Amino acid sequence: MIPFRLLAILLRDVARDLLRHRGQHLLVVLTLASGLLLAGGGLLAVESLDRWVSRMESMAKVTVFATEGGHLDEAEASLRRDPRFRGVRRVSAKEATERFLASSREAGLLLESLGGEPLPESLELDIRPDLVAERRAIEVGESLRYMPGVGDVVVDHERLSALQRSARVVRSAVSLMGVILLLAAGFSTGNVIRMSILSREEEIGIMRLVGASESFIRTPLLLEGALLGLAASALSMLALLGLWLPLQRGAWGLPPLFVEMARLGFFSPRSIILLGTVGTLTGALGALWGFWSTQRSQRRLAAVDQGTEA
Amino acid sequence: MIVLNHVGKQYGRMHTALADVNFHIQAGEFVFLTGPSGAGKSSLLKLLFRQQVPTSGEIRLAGHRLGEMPEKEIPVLRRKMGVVFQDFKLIHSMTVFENVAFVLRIMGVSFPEQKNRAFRALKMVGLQHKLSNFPLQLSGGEQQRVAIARALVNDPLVLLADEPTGNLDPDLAQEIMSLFERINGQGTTVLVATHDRSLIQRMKKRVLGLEHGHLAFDTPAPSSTLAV
Repeated sequence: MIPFRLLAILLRDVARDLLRHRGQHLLVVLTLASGLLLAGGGLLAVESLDRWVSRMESMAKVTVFATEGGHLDEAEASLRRDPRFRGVRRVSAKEATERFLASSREAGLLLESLGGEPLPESLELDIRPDLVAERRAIEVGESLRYMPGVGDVVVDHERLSALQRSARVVRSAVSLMGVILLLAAGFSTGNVIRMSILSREEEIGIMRLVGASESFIRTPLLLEGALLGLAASALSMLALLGLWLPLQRGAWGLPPLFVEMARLGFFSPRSIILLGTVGTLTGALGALWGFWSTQRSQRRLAAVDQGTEA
Repeated sequence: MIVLNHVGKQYGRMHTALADVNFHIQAGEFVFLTGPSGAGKSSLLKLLFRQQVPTSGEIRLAGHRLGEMPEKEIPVLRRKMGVVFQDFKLIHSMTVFENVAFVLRIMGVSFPEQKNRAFRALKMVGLQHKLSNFPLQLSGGEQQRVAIARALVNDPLVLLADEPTGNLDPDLAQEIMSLFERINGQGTTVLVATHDRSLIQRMKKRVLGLEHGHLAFDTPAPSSTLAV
């Protein structure tokens, strides 16, 4: 029965302290939320980039173009039997022209000036997953060049590999910046929580004098720190959502690539949990740091009082 | 209940607060500790409360050897005691009720029980109408009475009081002493440090006198007033 009572008392204490020191706590939440906003922004950017790259990967294909005025009937029949491909789609010259016209106004004007259907027909080949790796995909592409009626072969994976390399560099840079920002935010938040606890040092000292155990004093402080951290995480996620919503609607005239990346989605549940956990842990560790500081300073005072330290 | 054997307390190398102090207080006794300022009264109470450790000798309180007591057992000892500090030591961010009930909270007493017992303790010191006030809204005398209520609320085995009537007018001081007597009558051992000679004379209790850190005298109570 007593543990439940202590839990009820603990929760009541935490709620009361959160309200009583709301000014200091608001400062803690805002400090941590600003750090998490930057770090979370980086995480969201990395996640969007990953999604975009994997979307590009899923769309990557090998395209076989016919020679000028030529046809791909024979090649198509052969490729449909080829086990290296999961699917073969024929794109007629008319469809290719329509696609090109739809891509931009300038492209339409260019084609109109050429007249007729200037684009050759093609075959879009969906390559087997085990052959998707850059080198192997290129080898597959090379092997198609000498098939009857084939004028050119374009392997998307070749271009994609450059994109993947750039994405890796961006991901590493943003991740590193995110970690540095998070450490800085963690340090400053821990310090703000520590200052808030140090301002209650006298109160904590009296609690010790009337028989409160260290865990009785520490536990509500830890819980308060964790709750403040969680609140800061929620606040930073809301702020990021507030930025993401207009971005994915194409606001602020940002480049289409950014808008396209934003449209691929907000945080995944895993990232939400990660950001919440990081905020909660930062708050709790800051509180622990503050508690240790009061313990250390009170021990020092006690030593001076005892005459063992002058 | 309280045993001191050759207890000494030294601050640094130069200042001796207590030297070779020996006495024995039985369970249920009411004892005054007196002496001029700087005689070592507060130092002695700090040792009994385990706020400090003796430089030499041995102290036993309610079965605990205080000098050898591990840090984690100190809160357990303190919960068995009620202490009225000279500077009250009230938590300013808590109301009068919360200050008094705090001791019960750390003992895991249920909230309705905390309310009852804190109200009863505050009623004993005549402050039941100031439950929701904060300490800084009270006079010095009222704050002292809150500190007394907090010391009594957990029905302690031992009550230590450092100048508990220092800020009170003579009538109220007498009332507080009567309250201590009543608590003592219920079996609590009471040790009151004071230099108020008139109060000591009126109460007719055992008196321990400190001078320059030495136990100068130990005057027993008249046998009829010993509440053992």
